[in-house]
Amino acid sequence: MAKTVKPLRLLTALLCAACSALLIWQCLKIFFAGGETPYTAQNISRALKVCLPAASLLAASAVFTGILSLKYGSPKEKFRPDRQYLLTAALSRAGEAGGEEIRKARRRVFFVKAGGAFLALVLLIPFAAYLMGKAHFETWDLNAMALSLLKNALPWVFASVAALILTYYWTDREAAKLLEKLKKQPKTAFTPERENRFENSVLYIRLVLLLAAVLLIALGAANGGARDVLAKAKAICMECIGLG
Amino acid sequence: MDKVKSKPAFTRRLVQLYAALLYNCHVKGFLNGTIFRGNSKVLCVPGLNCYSCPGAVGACPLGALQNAVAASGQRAPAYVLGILLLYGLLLGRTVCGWLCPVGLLQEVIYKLPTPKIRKSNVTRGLSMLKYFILAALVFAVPFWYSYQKLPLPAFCKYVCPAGTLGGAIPLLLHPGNRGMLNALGVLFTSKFVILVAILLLCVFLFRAFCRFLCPLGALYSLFSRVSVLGVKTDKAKCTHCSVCLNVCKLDVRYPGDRECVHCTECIDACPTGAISFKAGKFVLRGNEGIPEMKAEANNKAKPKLWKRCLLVGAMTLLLGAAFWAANRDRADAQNAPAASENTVETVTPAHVDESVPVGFDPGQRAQNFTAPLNGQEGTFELYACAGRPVVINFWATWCTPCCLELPAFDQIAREYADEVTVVCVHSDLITDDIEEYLASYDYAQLFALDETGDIIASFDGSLALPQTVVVDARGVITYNDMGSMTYDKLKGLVTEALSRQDGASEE
Ligand code: SF4
Ligand code: SF4
Ligand code: SF4
Repeated sequence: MAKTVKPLRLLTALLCAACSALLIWQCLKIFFAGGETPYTAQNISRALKVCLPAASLLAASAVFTGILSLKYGSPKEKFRPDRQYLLTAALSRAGEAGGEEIRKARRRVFFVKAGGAFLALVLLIPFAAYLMGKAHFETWDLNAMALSLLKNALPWVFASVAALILTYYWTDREAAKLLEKLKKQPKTAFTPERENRFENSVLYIRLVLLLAAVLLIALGAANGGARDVLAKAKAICMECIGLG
Repeated sequence: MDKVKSKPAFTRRLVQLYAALLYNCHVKGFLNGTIFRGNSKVLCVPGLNCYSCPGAVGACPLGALQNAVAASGQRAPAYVLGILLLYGLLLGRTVCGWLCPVGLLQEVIYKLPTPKIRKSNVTRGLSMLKYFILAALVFAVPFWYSYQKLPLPAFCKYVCPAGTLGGAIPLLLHPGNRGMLNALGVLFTSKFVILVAILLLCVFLFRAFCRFLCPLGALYSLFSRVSVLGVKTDKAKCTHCSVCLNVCKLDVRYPGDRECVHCTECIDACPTGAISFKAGKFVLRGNEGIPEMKAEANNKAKPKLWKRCLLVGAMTLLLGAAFWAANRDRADAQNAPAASENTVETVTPAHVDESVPVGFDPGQRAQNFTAPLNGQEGTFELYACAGRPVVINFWATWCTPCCLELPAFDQIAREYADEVTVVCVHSDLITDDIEEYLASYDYAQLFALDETGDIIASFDGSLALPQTVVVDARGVITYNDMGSMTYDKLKGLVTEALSRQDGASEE
C-alpha cells in the first residue's frame, strides 16, 4: 500500500506547485493590469476565487494522502543526507582523529572536487565568449539565433555539466570507500587540545558577553535607542507590509 | 524509538505554539484591523515576529535591529544589539527550534505529504547565503543609507516573508483597511511572490527559510559555541559515527553547531550518549548511551501525564494573563483617537463652512488643531490659514517613504507659496533629531510637532506613516489617505482643492 501512497504524494507535490504558480500568476496579473491602484477589493476577491478550486483540491489530496500514509506507512523519507554530505561531515569532524590515511584521502577528494569545478568553469569560457559576441544577436531572427546557440555554444555547457557530474561520481565512489574505512576504524573519541582550552574558558567568555549585553542595553535605554524601538513598533511599518 | 522521540517533540511543539500565541496575543488587533500600541513593544521578542502584525505585543528583533542600524547616524544601535547579544548568549539558536513562530510555520508546512529534497553539500553551501543577507541587507545597506539620512530597513522592505504574512495580509484583508489597498504596488507584488516561493520551497525542504535566508538565525548561530542553553556534543564521547547526521534534517556537521536549532531530536539516536540538551553545566535532557535500552526503559515507564498537564496548565495560565493584559480596555484606549489637547475648539472663522459636519473623511470638515512649529517660534493653527487650502503631511524621521516624499511637498510649497499652506507634522513619539535632520535640507514647507499623536488620531491616523490630508479653503477635507505621495499626484490634489475654492468664490 505504501506504493499507492507514493504517486499520491507526488500528486500533492504537483498540486502545491500548481497552487503557488496560480497565486503568483494572479498576483502578477492584477499588478500588470495596471492603473494607479491595481489592487482593489474586487480584483483580490476575483483572484482568490480563481485559486479556490486548486486550493481545495490540494487540501483534499493532502488530507487523503496524509490519512493513507498514517494507515499504511509512507515510503521511507530520504532525510538521510547524501554520501558526499556524510563524507564531508565525517571527514571534517574526524579529520584529526582519522589518522594520516584519512587526511590524505580528504586532501585527494578536495583536489578532485576543486579540479572538477575549475574544469567546469574553464569549459564555460567559450560559452561566455559566445554570449558576449554581439554579432550573434544582431539579426533577431529567433530560429537562426537558437540554431547557432545550439551548434556553437551549448556543447560547451554540456561539457561543463558533464565534468561536474563526473567529478561528483568519482568523489562519491571515494566517499563510499572512505566511509567504509571510517566505520571499520576503532571508534576512538577525540578531544583536540584547543577544544579543552575553549571549554575551560567558556564561562569567562559568557560573563564578559553578559556584561557587555547589560551595558549595551543600559546605554541604549539612556541614548534613546529604546524609545526609537517603541516609536517604530507602535506604527504600522510600511516596509514590512510592502507599501513603503 | 518513536516513543522516545515523541516526548521532546511534544514539549517542543507546545512551547513553539505557546510562544507564537504569546507574541501575538492582541486578538483585538485582528478583529479591528489595527496594531497594538502598548509600551510592551519597547521589548523585542526573541523570534522573528513582525511588529506590524495586528496581534504582536512585542517588537521584532530583526526589524528593530535594521532600524537601529539605519539610525546609527544619530545614535549607536546599543539597545537592540544589547538585547540580541543577551538572547544569543542565553538562548542562541534554541530560539529557532523552540521560540520562533516562523520556524513553527515551516515545520507545519513540511508536514504536507509530498516527496522531500534531502540535504546535501549543496544545501550546506546554500546555508551561507543567510550570512550574506545578514551582512548586506541588515547591516550594510541600512548603515550606508543612514548617512544619506534615509532610514532603509532593506530586509524588511525587499525580502521578509514574515512581514508579508504576519503584517500585510491580516491588515489588508480587514475591511476597515480598504484604503491601504490603494497604496499597493510593485513592492507588495514582489514581496508576495517571494512569500509564495518561500512557502513552496518549505514544502519540499525542511525549514528552507531558516536554513538559507533568515538573517536572525544567522545572527543567533554566531553564538552556537557560547550560548548557555542548547544541544551540546561532548567531543570526548563522540566517535564520529554520523548517526546524528542521519536523524537531523538540517545541514549540521555536528549537533550544536551553527546550523543546529536545538530541537533535541538526535539526542536519543547517539549510541555513545555524546549529545545532550544543556543549560550551562546542567543536563536538561541526555541519554545514557545505549539507545535501544533507553527506549525500552522509556516505553515501559508510565507516561508522566501529570507532568504534561502541569506544563500545559502553567503555560495556559501565562498565556491567559498575557491575553488579558493585551486586550483589556486600557490597551484599547491607547488605540483609540484620544481626546486631544491639540485639537481645539475655537470660534470658527468665517471662511470655514460650519454647515459641513466635522470628521476625517473627504467631504467632512477638518477639526481644528494647533501644533508647535519646529525650529521657529509660534504654533501652527489649521483654522488660522485664512481661506486657503492646506496640505497636511504626517511624517517621521524614521520612516523611509516619508523622508523620500518630503521634496515633493517642498516643491509644492514653493510653487504655490501664495495660494496654499503646506505643513509637515512630525507625528507621535518624537525622537530628538528632527532639527538636526532638517538642518541638512532647505525645505520651504512648515514643520510642526505632534508630540502626543493626538493630531494624527483626529485625522483617523491609520497608525501607518506617511499620511497626507488636503483641506480646501472652506476647511473641508478633499483627500485623506496613507501611503507615498508623488509630486504629480500632490499637484493634482492641490489643483483640485484650488478649483473648489474658485468654484466656491464664483458661487
Ligand atoms: S518585516 Fe520581517 S524583519 Fe521586518 S519587522 Fe516585520 S517581521 Fe521583522
Ligand atoms: S532561522 Fe529565523 S525564521 Fe528560522 S527559526 Fe530562527 S529566527 Fe525563526
Ligand atoms: S543536530 Fe540534533 S538538535 Fe540540532 S537540529 Fe539536528 S536533530 Fe535537532
